[in-house]
Amino acid sequence: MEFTVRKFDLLQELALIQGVVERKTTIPILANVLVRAEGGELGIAATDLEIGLRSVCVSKTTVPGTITLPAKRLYEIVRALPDKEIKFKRSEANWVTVTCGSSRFRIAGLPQDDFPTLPEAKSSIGKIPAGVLAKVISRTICAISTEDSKYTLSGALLLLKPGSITMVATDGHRLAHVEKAQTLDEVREEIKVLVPRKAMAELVRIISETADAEVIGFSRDDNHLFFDMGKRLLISRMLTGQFPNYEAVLPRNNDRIVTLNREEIAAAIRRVAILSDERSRTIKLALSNGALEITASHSDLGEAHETLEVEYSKDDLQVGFNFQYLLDFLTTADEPEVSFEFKDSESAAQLRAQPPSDCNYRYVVMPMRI
Amino acid sequence: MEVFRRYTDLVEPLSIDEAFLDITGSVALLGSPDEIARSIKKDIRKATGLTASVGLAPNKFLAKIASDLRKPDGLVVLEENGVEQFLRDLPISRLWGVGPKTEARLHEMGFRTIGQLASAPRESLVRALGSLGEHLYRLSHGKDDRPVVPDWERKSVGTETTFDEDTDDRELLLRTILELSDHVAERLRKDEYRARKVTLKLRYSNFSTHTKQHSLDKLIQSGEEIAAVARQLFSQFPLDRKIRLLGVSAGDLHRDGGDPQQLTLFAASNQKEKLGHTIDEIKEKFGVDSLRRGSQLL
Repeated sequence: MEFTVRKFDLLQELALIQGVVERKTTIPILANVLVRAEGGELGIAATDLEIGLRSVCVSKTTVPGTITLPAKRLYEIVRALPDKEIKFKRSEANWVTVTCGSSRFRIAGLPQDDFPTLPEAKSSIGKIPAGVLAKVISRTICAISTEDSKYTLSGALLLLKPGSITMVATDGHRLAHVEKAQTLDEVREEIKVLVPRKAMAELVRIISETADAEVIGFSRDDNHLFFDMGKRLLISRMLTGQFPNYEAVLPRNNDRIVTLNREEIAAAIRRVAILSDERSRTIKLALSNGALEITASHSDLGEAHETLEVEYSKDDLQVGFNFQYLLDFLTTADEPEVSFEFKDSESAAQLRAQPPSDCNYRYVVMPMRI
Repeated sequence: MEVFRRYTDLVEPLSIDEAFLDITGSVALLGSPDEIARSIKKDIRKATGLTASVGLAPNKFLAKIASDLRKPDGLVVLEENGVEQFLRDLPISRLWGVGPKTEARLHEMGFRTIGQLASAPRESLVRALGSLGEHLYRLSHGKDDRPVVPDWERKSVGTETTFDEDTDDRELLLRTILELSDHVAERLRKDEYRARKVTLKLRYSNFSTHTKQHSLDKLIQSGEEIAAVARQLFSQFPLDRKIRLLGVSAGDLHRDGGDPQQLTLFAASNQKEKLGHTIDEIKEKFGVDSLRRGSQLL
């Protein structure tokens, strides 16, 4: 195997693939990238068995062949090399010599036979604009529990219809829901899948770091999801399990509503939260005529108060929340205003980005009983 | 523990079936210390059918030694002026803070009984053993002024069971986990605690004992929730040998209602909690055997 590739081209793919490669793996081959040289293309692939990424970059192949190389070290080497052509040559056994300018490295690879076979993508059943997919993911990913996935559902529901895309995520305490009116080419019927958190994070990263693909081709088989971004393909294991009946918990008649400047309320919560209890992270919101008071108290440290003027004339109300849940929404939304919609102190509150756009963002959060 | 609280609020549990009681304030109301001690023994027998060993003494250290002296059904009363004589011939290992290592050290120094230690000058003990020397000097003279601390907070609630016969029957093991989890949940509810951590203990037939634990991001109190985590932990153990013992415990306890409680979106877990309390009420009224899970009938 022998090929040359431009530093920049290879570096970009190796950088993207770092997020996929398993760092703490007990299976050595999973710390490697699969490199396949053939004709004018170099194929690169990595997987942690949950997700996989396959990409290509331009290269000149003299002798075709395939090998796996340690992903992190290879990335570090390529990043440190001068901006020139890099030549890879496989010698005896699985040794690969990398030369570039005056530098020369000899790296121990592993044979490709041990590398897991990545499933082949099926033909697309839906085209999703890359920016739209990135947006619905980044608006929901914060509501997924980061707790060990063995114990909770660690992904989000993706719902594709011919005229809309919806993503919903929840950890049982709060729920993020984004619905965008969007014509999705090739979508014939409703498609409902559970996308793992890691796949969501990598999709957003790849979409935001490269501007290559404008439209992503979505497909699936019985166990996998495929996101085809042109020269890159993200493959994800499909989550199994029942997504909770989220429609039943979307509040319908929360009629105590205040509208706030998003950055102001976020800043106020951050200040007050400094004196909240570290463990429960509770802050209190108290609504009264014309005012929203935010307070926190810490048994050892003291109290914090902040009052915002609001348009409100209904009954007084006091509700406790985990402040982090509120901030997760307030920092994810980018609309200038938000509405806080309450029913009472023990029912779900609904937070919405205002003014409502075609990318309708709502966030349902359960109070703390105080 | 409930029996103890009939006599004083100052109850400091020491283990599952042992506690310190400060009855100084109860004497006027309930009679002499002697009478109270006898009465507690009687109440325990009535409530549990078990015998109990009581040590009555001026402080915790002496009370503990006295109660250990005539197990299992003793009542040892120790008066202030009999303390030195009482301690004199007891081995030094009876002193708190004397483990095998310190014991060997003290033997080297020529101390075998508490009496010998008590006759040593305080300075020489402090020189040889540091603050432990001071501590042992005081104890050897029967001095211990630590109070009975009633609001000792529980660290964990757990229960375990040894199988009649070692088993690798997965069904039986999983059922047992649910049963143990139900017990733990019952005690959590009774003592008004919620737990954030679940630990599973497992002993194989060759007596090798293992534990695994998992911390959650929420507080739980129902048998199902505890069992769900315990089962998951169980699945991480190979079932290549028979199992002798299983234990489930809940840790990282928080007072029910003490901390603000995060409410949940999906009703299932709230309903489980209500169910738990209802089960407790039924058992309270009709007896512990009045209600069982279907799986327990298998």
